[in-house]
Amino acid sequence: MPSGRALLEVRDLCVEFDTQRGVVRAIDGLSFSCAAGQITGIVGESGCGKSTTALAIMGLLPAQGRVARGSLHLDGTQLTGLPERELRRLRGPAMAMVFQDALAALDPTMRVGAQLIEPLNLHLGLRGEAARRRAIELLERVGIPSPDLRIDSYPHEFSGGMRQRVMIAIALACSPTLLIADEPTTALDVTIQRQILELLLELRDETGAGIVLITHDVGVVAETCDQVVVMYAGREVECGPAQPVLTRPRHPYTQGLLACSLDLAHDRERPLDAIPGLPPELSTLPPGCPFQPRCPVSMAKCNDTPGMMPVGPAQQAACWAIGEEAYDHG
Amino acid sequence: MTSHRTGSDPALPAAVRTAPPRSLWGDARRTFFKNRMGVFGLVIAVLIVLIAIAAPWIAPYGYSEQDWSAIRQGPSAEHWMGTDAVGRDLFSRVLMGIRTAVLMGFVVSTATVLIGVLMGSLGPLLGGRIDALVVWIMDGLLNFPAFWLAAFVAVITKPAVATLAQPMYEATGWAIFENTLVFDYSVVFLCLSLVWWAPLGRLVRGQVLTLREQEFILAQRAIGASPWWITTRHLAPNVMGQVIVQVSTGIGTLMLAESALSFLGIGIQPPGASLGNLIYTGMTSWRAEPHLVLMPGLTLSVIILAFVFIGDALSDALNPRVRDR
Repeated sequence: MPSGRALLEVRDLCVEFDTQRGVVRAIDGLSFSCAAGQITGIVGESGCGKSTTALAIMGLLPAQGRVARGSLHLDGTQLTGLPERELRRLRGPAMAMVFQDALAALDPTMRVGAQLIEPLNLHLGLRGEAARRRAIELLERVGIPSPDLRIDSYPHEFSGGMRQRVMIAIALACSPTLLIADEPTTALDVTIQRQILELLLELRDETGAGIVLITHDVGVVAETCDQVVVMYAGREVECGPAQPVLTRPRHPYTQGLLACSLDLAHDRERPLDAIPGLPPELSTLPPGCPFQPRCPVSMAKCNDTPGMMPVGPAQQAACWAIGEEAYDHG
Repeated sequence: MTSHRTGSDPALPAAVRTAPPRSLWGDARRTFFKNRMGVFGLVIAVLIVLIAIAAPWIAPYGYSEQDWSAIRQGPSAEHWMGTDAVGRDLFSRVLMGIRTAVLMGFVVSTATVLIGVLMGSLGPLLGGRIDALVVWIMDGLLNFPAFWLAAFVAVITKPAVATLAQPMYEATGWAIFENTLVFDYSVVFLCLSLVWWAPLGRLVRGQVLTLREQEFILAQRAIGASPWWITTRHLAPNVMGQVIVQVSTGIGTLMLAESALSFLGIGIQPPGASLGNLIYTGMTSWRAEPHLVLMPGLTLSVIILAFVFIGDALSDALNPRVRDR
């Protein structure tokens, strides 16, 4: 259960990239927070800026990217503007990231144990036998059977789900207070997905860490998240506690997103729902609300960019058309 | 959470308990030894190296020993490869030639690896103008046919070294400056090393650039690893595979280059021994005494082929994409 202490505070985050077509704003005015022991989900289509948010928090933006505006606070420490050396000390013990593709994120020429021991060497100063024992403990904690044997295996010798567990183990090695999981289950099949999500929930309960869970799968959000942030074209369009946002979405985009998911009981006979059109090209965004071209309830006022407005006790949405039910799914 | 069995749990099937982890190097070794050409090449190469080391002791006659009673003979029991116009035993001379080839091959290879890896990784890691400079140098070198560039350097530096030698000897009194053999070897080493590192450098640079974009490098940064840590523990091992393949195939061409330089008269000259030299000397009478050209020529071919086979087999063995083994 959330302990109320704000662990991660993102305020008005703007991330820009230098591209051939000029400066592109990948994230525009994103604000959210994550408390210790809380799971905040960031959900949206591919390309909406979810992974960029994760990289921005970790300070791992590529050379052409930078935080143009806004602040990132982790446990009171201002992350933007910190020199690389300081960030390196935080990465691991204070904040850690789990990547989507575990096979790509692990060094193929190094045994898994060696890769697990690296953060222990770097941050905790553990060496030799002590490090090895801690690594075996970590593997056991994430549910790898025969950890004392598998510690000497190579990444390609694991199945997808096991590899993901290894990545989670590496991320947890130094007991970070913030864990960012970038689409941790996207590459896995549904049964394994559930196991990984359960593991994340358990770890959250055990360690009290805050988790930022990035995904495009609304079902994952429904199962695990306490709080949800919906992103579109680099902007935040809706946020709030998971329950109200998922059951009574207010922003037309969120409504469309939820309408896309299938319900076995009702949807067998009907044609599939989809949001018409394609996500916008970020370098050529028209003024105003980015969802305008695809929005079923767009009006003249939408040419002025809407800010986040309260639509419920803890819920906010960036839309002028609040109060109108675009889709009625009961 | 269910309780987890440890690896030594007797309830686990034996295959699970005892199967060794399959590492890149272990896999590579296994694959290499299944390749008959590669093993054959390796055996020959080891033999050649042993011969090269033992040459002065196993040669039945001296390199310059002349026997005027046995001139221009074909292969026989006393002279396994025959004799030349002044009665020198060809076999002994070929043995010394092998020694030079192997020495030059390995020494220059080491130098090219050191220079190539250094230059190849320096560029991407330091970036900016240093990178531009490195690329400019490498591309410049690669524009020229390697051998002829080396020959050019040799032709230029040899007289310079020779004219330097006399004053150096007078200044220091060290006998080394009177030794033409040392000059020959130094010049060949210099010109080959200066030129031969470029393809390796380009390979290393390409590998480093590709590897840098890999997600596991980002993941390393995500746990707080410093650039030095990432370079030494993750970039280097991943690059070494390709470097090893390149070097093992390259040894063959290096030996050929040394022989060619000596053949042209700008490499190792008498009293130094070189297979290229021997071929040159034997060329004038190749019709009457074909063995004088054939023997050193065949020997050189065998050596080069051996290393090429090894290089090919290694290339297969270290290729992580070939799955069915």
